[in-house]
This record gives sequence, structure tokens and C-alpha cells, in this order.
Amino acid sequence: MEFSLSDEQNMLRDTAERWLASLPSRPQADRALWREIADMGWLGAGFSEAEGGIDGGPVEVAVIMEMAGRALLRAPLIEGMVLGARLLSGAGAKTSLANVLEGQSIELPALEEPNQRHAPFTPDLRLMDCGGGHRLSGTKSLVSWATLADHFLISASDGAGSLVLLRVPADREGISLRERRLLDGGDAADLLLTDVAIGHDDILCQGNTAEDVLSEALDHATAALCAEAVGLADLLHERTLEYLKTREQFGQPIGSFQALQHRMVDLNIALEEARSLAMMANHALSLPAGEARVSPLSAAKQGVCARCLQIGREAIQLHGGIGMTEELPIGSAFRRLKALSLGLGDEAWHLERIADARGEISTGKEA
Amino acid sequence: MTALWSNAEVDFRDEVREFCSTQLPRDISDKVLHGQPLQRDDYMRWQDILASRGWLAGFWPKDYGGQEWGASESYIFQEETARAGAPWLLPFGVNYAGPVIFTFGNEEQKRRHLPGIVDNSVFWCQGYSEPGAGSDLARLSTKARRDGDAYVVNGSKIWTSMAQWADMMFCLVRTNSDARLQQGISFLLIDMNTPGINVQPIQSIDGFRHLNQVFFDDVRVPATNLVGEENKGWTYAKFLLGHERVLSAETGKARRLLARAESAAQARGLGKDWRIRDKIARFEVDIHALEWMSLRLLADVTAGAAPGTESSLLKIRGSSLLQEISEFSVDVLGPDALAYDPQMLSDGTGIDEELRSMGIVHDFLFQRAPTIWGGSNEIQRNIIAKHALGLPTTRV
Ligand SMILES: Cc1cc2nc3c(=O)[nH]c(=O)nc-3n(C[C@H](O)[C@H](O)[C@H](O)COP(=O)(O)OP(=O)(O)OC[C@H]3O[C@@H](n4cnc5c(N)ncnc54)[C@H](O)[C@@H]3O)c2cc1C
Repeated sequence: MEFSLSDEQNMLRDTAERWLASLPSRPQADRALWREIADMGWLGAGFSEAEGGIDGGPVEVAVIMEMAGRALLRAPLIEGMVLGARLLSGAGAKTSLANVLEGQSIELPALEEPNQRHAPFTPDLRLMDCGGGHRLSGTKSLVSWATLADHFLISASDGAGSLVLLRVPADREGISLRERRLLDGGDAADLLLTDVAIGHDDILCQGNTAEDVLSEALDHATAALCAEAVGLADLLHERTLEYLKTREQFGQPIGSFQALQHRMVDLNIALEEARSLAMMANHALSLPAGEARVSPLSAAKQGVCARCLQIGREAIQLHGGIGMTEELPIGSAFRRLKALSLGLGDEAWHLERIADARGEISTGKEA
Repeated sequence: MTALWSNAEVDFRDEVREFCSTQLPRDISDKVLHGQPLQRDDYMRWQDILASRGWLAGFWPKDYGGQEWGASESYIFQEETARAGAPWLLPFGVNYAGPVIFTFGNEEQKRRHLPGIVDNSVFWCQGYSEPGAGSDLARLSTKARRDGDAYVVNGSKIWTSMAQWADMMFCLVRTNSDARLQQGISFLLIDMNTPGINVQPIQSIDGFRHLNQVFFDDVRVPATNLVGEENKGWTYAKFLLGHERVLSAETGKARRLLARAESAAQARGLGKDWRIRDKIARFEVDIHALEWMSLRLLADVTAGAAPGTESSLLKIRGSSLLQEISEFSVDVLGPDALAYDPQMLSDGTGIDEELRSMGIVHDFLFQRAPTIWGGSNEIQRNIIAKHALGLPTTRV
């Protein structure tokens, strides 16, 4: 078993950390920043050299995500670097992928819909046949970083009800954005699609292929999300530990009170468990796609988020009044963690999936 | 115990209920029910309405403009107004400054300050906490030096809620640095318009700016604004903290938040979701437990006992419960909770699903605070451990 990073991975980590430290605090993505991210080689971190990457994999991505989490970087990493790029790679869209990995084009997924609580494989959005081509009308909700996108990667259902993945230029006639702000401070928009013309070239893949491609991309995104959550929790843990050692009340560091020591120890355990689960998620990506991954990935998503949120709540509490303010990164990290726990399937969604994967509990007496 | 409430108490409850349904302005209760931040004017309009009914300072003695409500009336009043969606009744004047002034102040101070609280014309804030003195309040270092007929105040207070709207602050200051910590503290009333006071807003994690740091730079406060005796302020401060905690088990608010979570579930077609129903049922159990615990304490207080460590117990459970219900409500929203825009929330008029959902997110973020303020829950546990359970202590 190998749990430590290779020399190259350590180097990736150190460079990422140094670069992130050079940014203004709580950096927010724009095109210039995305350019820098591309120049750092992050975008290809999860891909083979043949695809234009650096021959990395989930561990490289996790290293980046964890560092980005620690630095509270707000950028479409899960969306663009992982989910979007994986969709293109899975669909064999080589040229598009190459452009994305070089940072030439920002291509972001538009999967979620209003009135759906994460049902990515059964979008309500219909791709209607129309003469020789197709038309698309409907809404995709809360598309993160939509204003940065050159292309949207849109999920829809065709006339027969099977999944289609589309790649559509953001400036295509009929697409308008309703901008929204997110709990974690990021930007998003609802995508309002009115009679958007879709040609054959816009179709990335459909049917079973589309399901496999989307499923693979979501698996990778889930593991990346876990790594970011661990990074955020690591920051919260570090700041809280530091605070307990330095903040004095009653003439002594508050960390000398045993009531708080035990709380801090519990946070430490939560962090270690979260980190372990995030590694499990990466390992799950090496299993054959499909059933074998379901339970470990959902367990990691729910388990990591629950533990990291606990760290977040306690970090605020143990900081007292200042924990409630934007003077410290505590609140930001907590909001981001809550957003991560609600995104890509919330707690209930993943618990349900774990339970379903186990199958029904037998009622028979014979065991 | 035979009946829970006497006939008179039931009548009073109906009266408050009726009053809220006819007098509470709809635009204000909409904001409260949906978690929108309130402006100074929202609080003041409602408090004006209460003041004209004589209910703003209901528990005060009649001599000072109150109704001499007992603990049960206060409880019923809070429960009913909270459920109806009335704004939080700002405690700074009515619950804190007022009782200290009528208990420890002189006649001139009572004449000058009490009417403005009863008729809601003066907005008060609480200047206790400092950067270096939170849980360990006695270590406060804002200094007041006597200079002729005035005190000259230097230092700063922090986490001062709504100081940006306040006309007056009641403030703990150090008047003797040589005495033991608790013995050099005095209780001063400070006009917020005095030269040398600078109020700096602090943004909190919900995106709003209702917290402040207040700086004092050679602020001259008339010596007549000293309440009680110099260096006896700690006694008055502790008296006040007892009052702060009695009303901390906000079961009315807990019920209101739970009902809102239920409507959010319904609006999302989750009315039959067993996970959600199970949690709601558990919260109902918690609310019952908290309510009956509160009622037992009320009975003791009504029978003449001073609020003791039981109020710490209510504070811990009440604040934790609000916090848990608030986070549960966000979980009911699911991915809808990802959208949160403080500006839009505070500008929003009328209520649509989107604002409703942002209001729930807002409450979720802000409700991290009650377990910290008013003596943190850790401090309350220390109090119970030491004073109620008599556990030995290693510290002084
Ligand atoms: C939203 C909000 C509004 C507020 N409004 C006001 C206001 O209007 N006026 C005002 O004066 N103050 C106000 N406060 C301040 C509040 O009373 C203090 O935040 C509180 O007393 C805690 O002090 P602190 O923030 O300095 O935390 P600290 O005292 O530094 O505590 C940090 C952590 O250590 C823990 N701790 C400290 N001592 C012990 C111990 N002995 N044993 C175990 N744990 C311990 C605390 O529980 C906390 O978790 C407000 C606070 C908030 C969050």
C-alpha cells in the first residue's frame, strides 16, 4: 500500500502552494487567473500525455484540489478542470480537450435543473427534432462560473428519452444568462435556453455512451470535491489549533481548558478520517467504472463532507466572536464546505445511493 | 400541577395572539418569517406599536411604565410574538439597561432614561465585550479616568450589535486598574453622539454588517451617567447577565423555524420523505423537552426563586436547537441553498421561492452566533459544572 506522494507529486504540491500563496487572499477566478492556472500545468494534471496532459491521474488532481481548498481559491476547478475536461475526454473530443487543457477554451458543464435534486442521468431538458437539426428550450440552473465559459457542456434527453451530451458555444443565439451569486461567494448563472439551434456537430455523445461518459466524469469530480473539502478542513483545523494555543482568556491560553482540548482532538480525528475517505475516493477511481465505485465514492462524498462540516462548525464556535466575521477565512471556508456538501448530490442523495447499492434487507429468517 | 396555564394566562395568550394578528405590520412579519435582515426602522416600528399598547417593557414595575408581568406573562408574550413573526424584541434597553437603571440608578437617572426606553424613543446598545475580554469579561481594559465632572473614556468595545443605529450605550469601563479585576469596573451610560466615538462596522459570515467595533478616544462622559457606585459595576453587570439568559430558550422561534422547514419540504415535494419527517419529529421532541424545562424554571421563578444555573441549561439547549433546526432547513432546500446573495435578500420585496430559500440560508449562517454570545455555551457548561453540580475545579 502506498499512501505517500511521489517526488513529482510533492513538487506539484509545493509549486501549487507557493503560487497560491502569491495570490491576493481569497482569490476569485477571471480569465487572467485561468490563464495562470493553465500555465501551471494544472489543467492537464489528470490526463495522459497523449491527451495533452502530464501523465498524471486522480492523485495529481487531488493534490491540486487540496491546495486550492486550503487557499480558498474560487475557480471552476471541479467544473472545468475535472468535470468538463473528463466529459470531453470521455466523448473523444480530442481537439476540444486539447484546447481546454491549454487554457484556450473554458468549457463548463450545465447539468443541474430547477426542480431536480441532482438527477444527472435523466434531464428534463428535451432535445427536439426540427427539420434536419434540433432545438433546445429550457433551463439549466446554477451553472457555476457561467460568465467565464466559452462553451457549455449541456445534458439533455432526446425524443426517446435517452441521454445526450452537447457542446454548445456560449454565444449561440438563444442562450441567455441570469446571473446569480453563490453561498460560497462564487459566481453562477441560470442558463435560459430559448429555441437554441443544435447541429450534429454539437452532439458530443448519446445513449449508453453518454451515460458512461457522464458517470466517469462525475466520479472524478466527486473525488476532486472530497480533496478540496479536506484542504478546507485542513485550513480550519490549523487555524483553530493555532488559535487555541494563542488566544488567552482567564490568564491562560484557551487551549489549556480540557473541555476545548477534547473538542480539538475530535476535530483532529474527523480530519484524519476525512483525509482517509478522500484517499479511498481516489482509489475507487482505479476500480472498473460502474457498480464497484458507487458505494466507496458516495461514502467518501457523504463522509468527507459531514466530517469537514463538523470541523467548520467547531472552528467558528472555538474562535468565539471573531469566528463569526469575515476578518478570518473561517466563515468563507465553512460556506464553501456547506456548498460542497450540497453539490454533486447532497447528503441524502448519497446515503440513498449507498443503501440502494447494498440492496434490500432480507426479511427471511434464514441467514 | 393541575392545569398548565391559569385562565388569566390563557386569556392573556389569546390577547397577545389577537394583537399580533391585527397590529403586526405584514411587511415586517414577512421579512422575519422569511429570514430577511431587518432595518432599524423595522425594529422601531414594531416596538412603537408595542410601546403604545404598553407592552414594550411589560415585565417592568408599573411605576416605571411597565405592566408588572410575571415570568409566565413574559414567556407567553415572547412565545406568541415569535411565532407570529414579530421582530426580535431588542433587549438592550428594555431587558438590560432599563432594569439596571431602575434597580441601581438614582432618581435623576430613572427620570432621564427610563421613559425613553418605555416609549421606544432611544435606541440602546451593549458595550461589554472587548478584543481581549470576551468570556473573561472581567479583564476588560477600556479605561474611564475621572476629570472634574466627567469621565474620560479611552479604549474600544467589539461585537457591539447595532451600535451603528444606537443613541446610547451602556458600557463597562475600568475605573481602577490597581484593584482586583472585578473590583475596578464601573457601569457608564454613554451618549453615542459624544465627540471621540468612532463606530466601525464588521462584516459577519452572513454577509451583513450589524456588528461593530466602537473606539473611544478621549470621550467625555458626564459623571452623572455613572450608574450606582464607582467600581461596583461588576455586580450590576452580573445582575444583567442573569436577565439575559432567562429568555434564551426561544421555543416560539424554534417552532416557527421548524414550520418553515416543513413548508420548504412541502414546496419541494418532500412531504413524505421519511428522512425529513423523522428529523422534524425529533425536533418536535426537543422543543417539548425545552418548553417543559422552561416552564418548570418559570414556576420556580414565579414562586420567588432567583434565576439560577437553570437559565444556563436553557441557554445551551435553546441556542443549540435553533442552530440545528436552521441547518436542517438548509438541508431540506438541498441544492437550492447554493444560491445566496445578501444584497438581493435585503433589497427583496415580496416573497418568492428564491428569496425564501435565501432567507433560510441567512438564518443558517447567523444562527452560528447564539452558541457564542451571551456567555458562550462552553462558559454555561462551566457554570453548571461548578455551581449546580459542585464538581471540583483546578483553576482559580
Ligand atoms: C453575533 C454576535 C453579537 C454580539 N453582540 C454583542 C453585543 O451587542 N455586545 C457585547 O458586549 N458583546 C456582544 N457579543 C460578544 C459575545 O458576548 C462574545 O463573543 C462572547 O462573550 C465570547 O467572547 P469572545 O468572542 O472573546 O471569545 P473567547 O472568550 O475568546 O472564546 C473563544 C472560545 O473559547 C471558549 N472558552 C473561553 N473560555 C473558556 C473556558 N474557561 N472554558 C471552556 N471554554 C472556554 C469559548 O467558549 C469560545 O468557544 C456578540 C457576539 C456575537 C457573535
